[in-house]
Amino acid sequence: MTDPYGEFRAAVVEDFTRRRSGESLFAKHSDAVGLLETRALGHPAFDDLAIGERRATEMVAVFLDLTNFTGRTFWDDDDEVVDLAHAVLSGFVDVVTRFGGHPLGLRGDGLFAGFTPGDAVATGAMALGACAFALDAVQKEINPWLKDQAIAPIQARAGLDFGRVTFVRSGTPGHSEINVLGFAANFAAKCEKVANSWEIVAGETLVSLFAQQDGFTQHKYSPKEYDRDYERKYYRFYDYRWRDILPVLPTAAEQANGTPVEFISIH
Amino acid sequence: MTIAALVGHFAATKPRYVTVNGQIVFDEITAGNTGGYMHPIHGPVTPVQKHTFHGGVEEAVEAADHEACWWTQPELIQRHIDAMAQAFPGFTYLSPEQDSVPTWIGQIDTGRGKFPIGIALRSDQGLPRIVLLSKIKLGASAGRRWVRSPHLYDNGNLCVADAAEWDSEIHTAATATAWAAHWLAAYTEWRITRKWPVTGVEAVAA
Repeated sequence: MTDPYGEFRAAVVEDFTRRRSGESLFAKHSDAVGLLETRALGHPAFDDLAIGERRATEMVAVFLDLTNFTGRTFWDDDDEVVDLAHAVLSGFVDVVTRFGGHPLGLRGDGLFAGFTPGDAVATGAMALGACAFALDAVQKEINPWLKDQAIAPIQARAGLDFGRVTFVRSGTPGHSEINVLGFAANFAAKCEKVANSWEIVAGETLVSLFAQQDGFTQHKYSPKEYDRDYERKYYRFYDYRWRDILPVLPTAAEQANGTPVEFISIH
Repeated sequence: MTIAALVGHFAATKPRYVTVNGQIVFDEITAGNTGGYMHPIHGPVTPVQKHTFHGGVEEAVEAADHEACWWTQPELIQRHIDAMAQAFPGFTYLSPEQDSVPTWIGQIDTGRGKFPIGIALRSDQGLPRIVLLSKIKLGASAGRRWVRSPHLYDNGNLCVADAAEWDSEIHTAATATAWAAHWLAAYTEWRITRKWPVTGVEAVAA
């Protein structure tokens, strides 16, 4: 049996150590490694969009973020901060991929990812599983190692929601990028912003997928109020008790082994 | 444990178990050689049988001649006593008298609150009555308003299952006590979120 936690730790630690020792300068000029490293993040089902073209899908939008990381840029050496962010975010990319999601892009010190169904419940479960695994791996594997290196520990948090989003390629023929628009993506970002360190916050559409909602407690700032034209609507969001699912995550990760959730069916 | 186990945390199909103190648990359960189930921290656990939370009017029991009632046959009542002693050893059995039915009283510790309850068998062998033995009202304040808990009978007893789900040939007082523990676990969640978290239990450990 593989050890996903150990692999996460090894990936982050090795990457960070390699970069601190200057090996990355060599890697940058190596054609073979360079080819691998230039692969852009994105969703394979939407890579072929032409400029201005769009396609919609249901998706669990995920934001996995390093909390209070900006403060490190004030206190710590720039290169060390960048190397650490790079190593941990690369670890997050690996976790999301391992749980069957698609890393869609880096947003500063956070990762934006999407899990597209498939079975909506399985998709939501795997997305929450990826977030729980990432937070736990940082706590259990990365921070003790950072402590040994006399480097301040890092903190992480996550926000998620489910709903319809639209992938659209914007820009000019030479310079374009695929953007993901929709309430689920926006609200997942909001959930991530209200989460404290070591919290996972989920929007109500994601939570409503599940028949069992014991692990979700309405967030103290929930609901979010939306007003327009004298109409008022509310949208709830929930703290997720993510440590409950930790015992099943290593084997779930091992079984998924990078198979996109849209190809996973639960009988 | 696999992806299915992870999904089971969110779907209504995951088997649930109850500890001897009344706490509902899901994971790390292992089947023993003697047919029982164990939790690494809580010890022996009992599977919660299929049920669905309901409400409305509790079925009345017609007056019965207690001297000729089914529980006067030792083999019929003994299986209830044995099942309760195994699943909930902290509960006290009150044997039936002229004007009372076989009853167990004890405390359910949900992990988020303790509730004294009574489980009373019925002369028609129907779904036992689950009574909260406390003066607290089951509900919550919503501003100035009092909101009654969902899934209560009109008389205030816990509606742990549909009457049709009760099988007097198979189920025992321990089944009803496990359902009551599940009800109380859901109730403590509802007190926080105002959302009843689960419809019941759809799958039972094989």
